Amino acid sequence: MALLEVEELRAGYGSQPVLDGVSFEVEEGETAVLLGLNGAGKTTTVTNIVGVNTPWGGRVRFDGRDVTGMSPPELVRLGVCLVPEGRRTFPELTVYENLRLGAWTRRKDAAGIAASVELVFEYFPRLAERRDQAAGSMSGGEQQMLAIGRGLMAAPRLLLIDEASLGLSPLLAKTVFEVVDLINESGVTVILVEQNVGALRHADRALVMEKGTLVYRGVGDEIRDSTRLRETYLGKA
Amino acid sequence: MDQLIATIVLGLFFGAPYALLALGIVLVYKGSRVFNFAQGEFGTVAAFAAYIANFWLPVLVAALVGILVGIAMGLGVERFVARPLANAPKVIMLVATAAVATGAIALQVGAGGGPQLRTFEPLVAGNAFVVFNVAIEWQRVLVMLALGLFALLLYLFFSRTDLGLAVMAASQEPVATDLVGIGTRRMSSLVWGMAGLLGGVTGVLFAGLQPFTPGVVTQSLLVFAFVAAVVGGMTSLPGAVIGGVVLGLVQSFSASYLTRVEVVAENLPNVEWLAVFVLLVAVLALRPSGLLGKEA
Ligand SMILES: Nc1ncnc2c1ncn2[C@@H]1O[C@H](COP(=O)(O)OP(=O)(O)OP(=O)(O)O)[C@@H](O)[C@H]1O
Ligand SMILES: [Mg+2]
Repeated sequence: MALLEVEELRAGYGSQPVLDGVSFEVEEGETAVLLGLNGAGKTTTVTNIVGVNTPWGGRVRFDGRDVTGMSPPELVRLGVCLVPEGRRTFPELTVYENLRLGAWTRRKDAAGIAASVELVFEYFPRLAERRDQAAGSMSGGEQQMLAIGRGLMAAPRLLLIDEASLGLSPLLAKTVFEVVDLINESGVTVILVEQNVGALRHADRALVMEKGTLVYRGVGDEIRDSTRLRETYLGKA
Repeated sequence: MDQLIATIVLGLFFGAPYALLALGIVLVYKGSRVFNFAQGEFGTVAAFAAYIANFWLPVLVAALVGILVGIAMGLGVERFVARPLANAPKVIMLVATAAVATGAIALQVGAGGGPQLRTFEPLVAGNAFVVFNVAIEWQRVLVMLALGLFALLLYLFFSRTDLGLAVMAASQEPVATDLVGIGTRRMSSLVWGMAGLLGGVTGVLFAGLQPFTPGVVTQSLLVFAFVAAVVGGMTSLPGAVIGGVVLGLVQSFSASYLTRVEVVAENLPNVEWLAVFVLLVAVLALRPSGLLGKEA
């Protein structure tokens, strides 16, 4: 059984449909990449999985359990955490306070929190240097690291990251993807929402989305040299 | 010299109710970015509830009932006004809280049997002390103590607790607050409930200072409390306390000194109101972000 099963997911905004029956699975321990052009519906997919938006129809199952329409706090408690598009760090709080709040659902576990903070600082030494700086006064890249770090603080089993590399220099994007590899190696299942095909090198599974439906699904080595993937995604870019 | 000391003491004690109400205003602004014009009525409604409860219950218990009603009103306004309007433009929210205030006053006039004066006993009767011919009642000392206590508790809440951090997070980034598992609704209820508590305490204590009528806290304190909050920086709790006290001092100094100038005494019988206005304009001109506000 897959860790995450999305079945015929339909969603939209107001009366405007966006997702027209999206189905895919992600196995425990994988890194999956969800690719697609602007407006394809990637963000809509992940916000409907984690409960920021409520799906119009279809099913979301996590670890065999139906979680369709649950609120984000409930899903965080179950181990599903989204690092949202646009970072959304708490601007007037310090780096450390942002991380602390990331661990809200396990705030009684002081030792666990301390260990997670250490781990995040190990992944992103820049954050350790800026521990007491207000998040809003940091650079975009630093805030991206903080947003990912804050997501990790929840000790999720499934971490979804919406556009981790957006606005980052190629070097910094590489660093972030390397950290994603480390996170994945530590046992966390990861879904990367990306426009950057460079992310494919770090993925076990690729999903390509176009106008609210999935037009390509691939796993393993096939995704790294698939001409079909290139045609469907890159060819039209 | 005697007069100077008396003026200072009076100013401090008369500023305390402004500061107490201002704390509630700042709390709601800090926690949900709403200008809460109903804060004064959390107080008057609590005072009326205490007044009515006092027909059957001893004064201290009645005061407690009033404060609980203040908390309930804070929670009710969150649930039925602030939450449904969370995504509406800020000005709509502001008008809605003003509507709550006028509605509450109308209800007091209607259900309470008209606008006549009522009296609620002071929790502690009599004068605490006299400085240079100025008597300070125990009830005013209570207001001062309540101010000190709540200022300290709120300071500790925001600087020392995760819950305080979560409240600030919810006001800065609601979506991310939900995503880390905090739940913005619970934070919003908490903030408004605490504001109801602060308003209730202000109202119950203020009603024991002099006879009161429907809408008394809004009428006597709300404008000054808002000035205090703005002067203090709107998001700063110490700022609200300092703002309230500075306002009390400005009023007492202008009342006891400016009125000695003949022109002023003849033409401006309420010069202390003008002085408050001048203070507000001066602060906004020189330091738009308020005394303790963050630079915008
Ligand atoms: N809050 C919203 N209200 C109305 N329509 C929206 C909203 N958010 C997104 N949409 C619409 O839904 C469609 C899909 O948007 P979505 O944000 O899911 O795309 P995306 O694949 O994440 O794109 P990008 O790569 O630019 O982030 C777009 O047509 C967009 O205009
Ligand atoms: Mg997007």
